[in-house]
Amino acid sequence: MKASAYCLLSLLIVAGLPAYAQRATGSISGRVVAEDGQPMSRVPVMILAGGQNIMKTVMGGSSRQMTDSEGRFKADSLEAAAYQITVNAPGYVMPNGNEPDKLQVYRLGDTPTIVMRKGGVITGRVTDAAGRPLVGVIVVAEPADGGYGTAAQTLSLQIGGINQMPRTTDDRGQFRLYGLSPGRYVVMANPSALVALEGHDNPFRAQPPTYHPAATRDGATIVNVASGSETGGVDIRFRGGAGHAVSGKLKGMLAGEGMMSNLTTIQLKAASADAILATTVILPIFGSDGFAFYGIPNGDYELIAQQLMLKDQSTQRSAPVRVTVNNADVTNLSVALSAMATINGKLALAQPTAACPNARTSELDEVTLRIERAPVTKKSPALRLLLGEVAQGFADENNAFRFTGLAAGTFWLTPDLPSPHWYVKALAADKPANVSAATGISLKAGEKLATLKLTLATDGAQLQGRVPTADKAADKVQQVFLVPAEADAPVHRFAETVSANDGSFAFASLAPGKYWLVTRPAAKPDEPLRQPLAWDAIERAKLVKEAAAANQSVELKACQVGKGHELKLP
Amino acid sequence: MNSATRFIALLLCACLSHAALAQNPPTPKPTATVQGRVTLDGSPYAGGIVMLQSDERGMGEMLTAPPAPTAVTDGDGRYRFAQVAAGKYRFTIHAQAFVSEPSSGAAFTVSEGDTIENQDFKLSRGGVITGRVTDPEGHPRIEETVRLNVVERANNEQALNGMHFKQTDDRGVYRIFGIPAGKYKVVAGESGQMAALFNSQPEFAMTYYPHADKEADGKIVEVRAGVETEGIDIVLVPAEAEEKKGFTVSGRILDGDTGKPVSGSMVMLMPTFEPENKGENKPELLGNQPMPATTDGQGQFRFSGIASGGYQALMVNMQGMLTGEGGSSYAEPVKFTVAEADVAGLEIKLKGGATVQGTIAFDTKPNAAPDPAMNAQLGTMMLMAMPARPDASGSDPSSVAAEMAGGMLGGGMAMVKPDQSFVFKGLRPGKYTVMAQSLTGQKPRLLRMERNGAVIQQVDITGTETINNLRLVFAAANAAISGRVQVQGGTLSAGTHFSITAIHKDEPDKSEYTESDMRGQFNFANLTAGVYQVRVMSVRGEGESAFEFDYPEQSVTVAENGKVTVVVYVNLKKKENQ
Repeated sequence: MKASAYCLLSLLIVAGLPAYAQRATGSISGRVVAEDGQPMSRVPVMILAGGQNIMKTVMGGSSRQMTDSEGRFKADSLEAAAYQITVNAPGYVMPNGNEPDKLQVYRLGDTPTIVMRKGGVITGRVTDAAGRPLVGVIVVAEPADGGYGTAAQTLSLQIGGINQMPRTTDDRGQFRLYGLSPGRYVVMANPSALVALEGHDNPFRAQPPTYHPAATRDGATIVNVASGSETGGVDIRFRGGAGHAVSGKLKGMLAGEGMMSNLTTIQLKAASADAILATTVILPIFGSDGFAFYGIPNGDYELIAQQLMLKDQSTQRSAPVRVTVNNADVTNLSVALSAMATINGKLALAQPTAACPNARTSELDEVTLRIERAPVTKKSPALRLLLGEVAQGFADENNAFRFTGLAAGTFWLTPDLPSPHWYVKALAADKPANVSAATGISLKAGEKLATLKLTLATDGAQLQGRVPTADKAADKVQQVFLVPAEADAPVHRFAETVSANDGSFAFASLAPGKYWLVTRPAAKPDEPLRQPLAWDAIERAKLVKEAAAANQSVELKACQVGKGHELKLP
Repeated sequence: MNSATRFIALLLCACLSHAALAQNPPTPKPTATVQGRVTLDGSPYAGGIVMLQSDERGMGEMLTAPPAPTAVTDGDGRYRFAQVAAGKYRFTIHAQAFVSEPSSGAAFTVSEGDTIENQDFKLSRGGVITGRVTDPEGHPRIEETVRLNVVERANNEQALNGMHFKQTDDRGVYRIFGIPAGKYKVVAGESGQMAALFNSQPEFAMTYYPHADKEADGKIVEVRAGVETEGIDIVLVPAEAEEKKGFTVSGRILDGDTGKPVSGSMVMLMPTFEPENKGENKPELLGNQPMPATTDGQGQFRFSGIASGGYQALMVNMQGMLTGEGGSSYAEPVKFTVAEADVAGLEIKLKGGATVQGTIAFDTKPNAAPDPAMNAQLGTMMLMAMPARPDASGSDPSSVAAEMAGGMLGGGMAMVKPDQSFVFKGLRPGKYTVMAQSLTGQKPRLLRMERNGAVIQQVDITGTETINNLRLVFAAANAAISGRVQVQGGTLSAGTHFSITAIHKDEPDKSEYTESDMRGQFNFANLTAGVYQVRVMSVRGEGESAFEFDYPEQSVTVAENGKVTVVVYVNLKKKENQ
């Protein structure tokens, strides 16, 4: 009884996202349309301020409404902040569906048109070894290249109070997975202990999953899903067999006071790939430090545990613990948590030297920030988030921001600014050794960097131009670099972009001053650069040399919007 | 998705999985066997999967418990579980496409060394209903829930196996299977809950096949065993445009001492049932209970769509409860009336509450060696400070509800820490008792409260004091009573089982309850030592209406760590007029 009262309570939290009364300062309105431009009516839209404290985000989300018959939504009386918009239209996917590490934020006055894409469909049939239909088995499609995939999507839908049950096979063994973002998938029957998908009496829990067509994960056939496409015949011959237990205890868990003061997750990852195969949790109310996975097939794995304290979001994490399952249970594992690095920072505005005309009124708490470790690894975005190689931050109402759960290493901070006139003026910290304009922010394991100060200015410049496009083939797209002309300029003054097919390019949020422009052929236009060139000292020096030699200079004044800048190719 | 929202989601999932993940208990000496036969339409059914799911797990163990044992039927339809540990189980067959007798999930008690035979499942082919749900323009309705209402069932002992509701897919298609033969009405459409979440009203009414918003106008669909009934298409009926009459209620939460606004605090509205509000003027909420609101940076909250009536606004200290911080104050509920007009300017004032802290322990004999396993049980307790009701007679049910909400959701909840200490913060003045809830299958029982060594009945709080040295003394729950029900004076049909209670002599209000399996076997595990009255409360199953029953009680004494076996008799008397 009490357990269910407790569940009710947590449901209440999730259901209790009210119309949030705030300082009446602005609105965000927009439309939700399908790819063909048709409005999507009566679609639930959630507009959540990301920068408010956790409890506000969870309980006091800013606006929940349904679109009208024209697909319109409008949230009034919003405080200045960076907002995230979630549209839940079953069968459709959001434009930025599969990128957990990249936030699309909206600010007061924005009028986005959100184009929902019809999701892809995978259908098939699950049979047992004898070819008989297997009824009531859970089937999921997970991104082949790693990540949280379906589990995360199911979770986020449950956040919205929308109870999406896992999809199971019918009386003919048939399944139909829809609303899939375009991409490469592996399709499996009976996923391993994935917390989100446990639900019914499941007799297959001790057995490992079988991937389409009748394989382990390594042998799975990849299914390509295009927007709005339907792929049939993705049948699974269920192998069943004995899976094994992987269990143990966590060491070094911190105790908190509240009944949900902290959350500990333990994830089982393939050793040789980014795929997170199973997730389990420990909550304070469990009163335990034990964890267990079942139905794990033979193979090499890594266990990664992390404990998040809800109070201040500080995070402890374990080093990956290697586990080999070979025809036997692996029990009594010991996984040790240790503190991760934290950065507390503050935003400041420099006194403007000029007031830019027609500039939008912007607030510091509309700024979002991203911190990323260099060199950037080739891991999946979800895994990089999990390992603390990348993190997102929001400025709060006191202009403070915070990154937690960071790995050790050198990080670069990139803000997403509310106005194209805003730019980064200076980055400093009380411990200068940690922060340098030339080498980034360096963090030792578990270090707490207390006072990072990011100074922004409001009188920045913009620059638009064009590179020659004699041949309009896509491989003529150029990388365009903006290189400060003075010696030893801070890295945040370097900028880079990729020209469009017509040769046009645009830079915003630039510090006034003198720059060189230089281009390079974009090696593979479909593969975006993994990290800005200027983050690497050697590459940066090469670029400066190249830019000085090309000597295409431009001088930008405060608030200037430089237009029609024609570039020569080297 | 940020970590906080993921966190809540995981919690939710954990809750939803609670029932499903109950697993077999860690009782030693797995010596029992369970076996039976599965038939399909009278012929042996090979490859059927039977599960034994333990019924004795607490919430805290649900994610680490091993999978339930399964057995697969052989060519002759036979299955066998060997080395089953004693305990209470649910007996489940994974056969969602079929109708089964008995229905899946029957209760089951296994004793040590037991050999349980003839646990048979009779499967028959279920019927299928499939069709498409569209709006009046013919567009498919995606993820619309479709349910069956039973009009008449051919065989009342056949229950619907598994879920008898399904969601439509991206084409608007649904397929419900494993349906017992009978007559049904098929209904689709949302109940309004989803729309309310998004501050909207439902677009469509609950619609009965083919196009009726009243159940009486819905067509009956006849389902025959093994037959698929196609084309049960439902065209949703637009919901009647309900006139949205409602008012706004707004106000602020202030710190009672400093007058400063309190942001990020949660407010709930609850109707009051004042005598003058009874009858016609009963407060009525449009759609659902209003969603809780959260105060903004100025401490302001606002509700809209509130109907006329009497209400009270309650501050709920959710954050304090969840994170253990900022939970040291409380607020008196503010009562107000919505009388065909908006209400503004409500002020909820926070006051500093009291702190009560202490430790919990087992009632052990002096000099007894500490038992780590037992103490671990204490580390998983949830405590609630319950306001002692001043006067039960004539009490206003809404103020009791408000008291519960304010007390339970506010400071009145505490988790016992691993060192067996606890803290309640932000308690309002009043008298409190403490309730304890274990999160594991072990259920230590709260025996008494002590303060500075003396037994106290309740904790009196007058202001913002801190009360230390509270000690909660528990009895270990390691005793068990098992037994069986013996029927005398007649015979009951095979599927009959019994509800049984064990009432502790010293604490009659804290009785334990269980159900016997179909052999009449039952088991109470995790009892504290003491004298219990064991009695049959009721009989479930066919044929019960033919008899009158007489339920003699049995008195049973069980010691710490003890196990007692008992036979409870049920005397049947044929009803005279049958």
